[in-house]
Amino acid sequence: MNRLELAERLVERARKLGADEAEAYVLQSSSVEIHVVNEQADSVNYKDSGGYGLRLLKDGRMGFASSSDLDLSAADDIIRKLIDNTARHSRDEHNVLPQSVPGTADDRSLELYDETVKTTPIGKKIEKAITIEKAAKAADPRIVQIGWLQYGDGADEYAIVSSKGVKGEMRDTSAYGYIMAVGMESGSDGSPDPATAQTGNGLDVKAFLSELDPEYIGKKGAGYALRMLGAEDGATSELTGIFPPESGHSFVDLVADMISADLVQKKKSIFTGKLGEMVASDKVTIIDDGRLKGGMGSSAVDAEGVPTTTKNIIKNGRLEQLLYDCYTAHRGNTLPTGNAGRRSYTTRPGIGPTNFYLQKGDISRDEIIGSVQNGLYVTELSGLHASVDPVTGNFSIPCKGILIKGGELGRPVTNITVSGNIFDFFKSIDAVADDLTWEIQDSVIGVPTFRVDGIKVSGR
Amino acid sequence: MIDHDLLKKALAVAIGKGADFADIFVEKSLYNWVSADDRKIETDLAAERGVGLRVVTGGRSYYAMTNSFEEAEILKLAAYVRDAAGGANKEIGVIDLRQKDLGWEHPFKISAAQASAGPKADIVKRAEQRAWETPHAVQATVRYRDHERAVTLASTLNDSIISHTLGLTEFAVIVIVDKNGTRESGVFGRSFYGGLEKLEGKYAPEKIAANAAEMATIMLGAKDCPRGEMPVVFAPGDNGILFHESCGHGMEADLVEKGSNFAGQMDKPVASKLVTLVDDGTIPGYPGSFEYDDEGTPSQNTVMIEKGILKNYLHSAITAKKFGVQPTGSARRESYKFPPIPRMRNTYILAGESDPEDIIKNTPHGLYAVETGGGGQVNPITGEFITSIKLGYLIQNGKITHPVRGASIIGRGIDTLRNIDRVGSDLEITYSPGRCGKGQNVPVGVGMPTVRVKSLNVGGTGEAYEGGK
Repeated sequence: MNRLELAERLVERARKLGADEAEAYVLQSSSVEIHVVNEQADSVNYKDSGGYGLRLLKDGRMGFASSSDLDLSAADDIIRKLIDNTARHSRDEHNVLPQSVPGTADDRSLELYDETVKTTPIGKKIEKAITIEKAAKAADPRIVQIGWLQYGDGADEYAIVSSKGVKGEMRDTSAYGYIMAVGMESGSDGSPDPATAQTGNGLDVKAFLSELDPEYIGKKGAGYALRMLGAEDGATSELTGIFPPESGHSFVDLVADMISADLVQKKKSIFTGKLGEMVASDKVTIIDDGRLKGGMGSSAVDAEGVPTTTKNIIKNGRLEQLLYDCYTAHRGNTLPTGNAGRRSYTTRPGIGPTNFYLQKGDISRDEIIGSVQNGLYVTELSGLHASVDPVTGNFSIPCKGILIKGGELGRPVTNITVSGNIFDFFKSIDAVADDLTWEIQDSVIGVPTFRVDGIKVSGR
Repeated sequence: MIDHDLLKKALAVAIGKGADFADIFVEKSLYNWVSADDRKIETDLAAERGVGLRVVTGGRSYYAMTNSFEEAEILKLAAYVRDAAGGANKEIGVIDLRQKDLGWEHPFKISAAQASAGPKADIVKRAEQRAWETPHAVQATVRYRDHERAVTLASTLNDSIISHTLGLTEFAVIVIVDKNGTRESGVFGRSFYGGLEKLEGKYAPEKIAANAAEMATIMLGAKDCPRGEMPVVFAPGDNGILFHESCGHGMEADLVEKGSNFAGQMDKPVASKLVTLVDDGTIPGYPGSFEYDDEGTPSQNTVMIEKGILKNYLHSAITAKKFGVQPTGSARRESYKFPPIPRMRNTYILAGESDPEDIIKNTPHGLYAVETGGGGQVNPITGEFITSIKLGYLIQNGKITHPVRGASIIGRGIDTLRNIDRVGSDLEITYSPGRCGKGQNVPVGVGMPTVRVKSLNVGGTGEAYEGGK
């Protein structure tokens, strides 16, 4: 039975066993993960997994269950248990499944799929991974060690069918390489001194295997480690902050998380009650574009089968739009924005960004650096999830950087944190560069280098 | 779940090209969620089953999984992994495996998989009601999650078959309060290797909710934490996450192999003499506990640092062989979808001799860290770590004074361990709510007594710290 048929049968069974409405999502995915140690594959993992997620609506209650057992005969047990569980839910008039929009759920014009992700032999992929390590080591003799090296790829194929007429199949692929390069300076005996170790993360993600450049990833990791060599502990101070894409993306990602209508409606977001207000400086325009040609976050419809959209989230500093799925749109008396997403078949659809980016400005990164007398060029932010209070927006984020003196990059500093409040931070953005770069980790985030007037640094 | 003869047959195929060993892991699990959020009760349900098969040769690991329990699929999987690992064909005799006895009581007195959603929803409602009683509450979220995993491991490493039950019951409450536009939250959670029977007494749902409520209320009166270097006294219990992050990861042998900051430090001083750090998987009921690890090695209480001296890393069978030592029962996996790797279990510092009250009295000024923010991370190569403090108090003239909010703590693992100058007598190992992520999520516990670190870099949102002034 193919995915679409299975999804149809699951919806049928759910209706038969008592659901008012039902929606099935069937996923089949195959992936490879390769870990390399000392230019050899140390561990190779293949995953060939599948499963389904089933939402059903009964008496105004929405239930969800998933299973990795694709045998339809086992599904009845799950559905019965699900119906029983759903009876415990609170009723909520906003629980809805979307009507299908004809000609959308099977629109695959924005699909990014590369056959070769599945067909390329494992040996070639291992070679690619080893090339990352070689490129990093070749970049400079001070790259003496590799802290982590991983290659991975995956192909997902899925079908979604609902009793409201949504019916479609989609697929996508991705391939990534990641290295943590370790640089060290020589000690008094001429051998590398671990006390001077600095690490650099090189990561890249592409939909097409041929576009993934292992040399670039290796060099990037090496370069990031090398620029931090000789770092000293930074001092407590107040400086002008410059955030290049490799650190600045974390802040845009934070907005992407908090702009969910679900969090806002439940008063869990810092954006609660802020729609229409100035939340950033007029230099800040943030866009969520689900229809960006070639974007890793693009698709014709979202995880509920609603067509995706392009919209300004923040326009010249003013908060204009939240991200909605069908539930929150119904509750907020507005239209869904096509921002329902799924991380896997095991979770209900949730709200998430598509291609989410800070619009670029018209000056160069060098001009921005040149404009700063006393500043910090932030190279790395860590542990954002542990460092930002999602209710108040207060943050205190450990980071590393390079001091700027008289418009020039100077010595690297570490063991510092930057702190403040997220609104104050966005309101203090006073320049945005023209180097829009896509950083793809959990979400697809685009960000150029930007400057922030006055950040609190704590250190020594 | 799957006939033992089929497991033996699959293993025979898997080692057919001369592998060091092979293991096959079969799992059937049920995951349940019940939540109250925004005054609404909802549930989720996930049924998972699958088979993972690993071939290890020359210290390299090859792993693949399937959701199918069909004989043909499983044998195909075995042949696939065998061929990926490579080697020359070898004659394999009959594989003989002994079924290992279980010494531990069944961890779930009330089966999470069999219990219906009713009693779970009732428990959630009790906590929800208590949470909304918090003065100035504007939102309350209660999360109940459980999973019960029936797993079978058959391995040629120790020629054995083990069938046992793993899993976790988690309960957490979040209260958001708003007083005249000042918005704060309180969070409290606990997790257990066991079922609903654990959510009683001290851990009754109302008690957990009350803890979150109290924290939210105190937070409303808190000032911004000052920033800079200062002495920090850590309250006992959940703050043990500090040691999980700052040194535990760097002692996981796969990270040591990649050059962690604890590499090459065996039998050398890496901490103050006051510090003895253990990773203990043998305390029944705690989130990081289990009788056998996911390679079939019995769990143990591993002394990592003894009186300041590094004594052991945490090993899987693969890393132990590379290091020429015995595995420590630390090989764990999130599910059948992953191969096992070295992980922590319940990590804690043993009690010292100082009276906790005296530690505060003898600290002229600094920070008393009470509630962890629940997360953190480490760069195992440089040892740079972060953890966050959600709620703390300033110490002034040896007394705990007003509450402060929102601080990150950063440092380097070994520096921090050496800077410990007081260890209290009040060790608390907690049913901490955390899971540890290292590509795969596994439940872990932490613990510690009251501990003072002479000097730590605190990244607060307040003014620059000026000592006792």
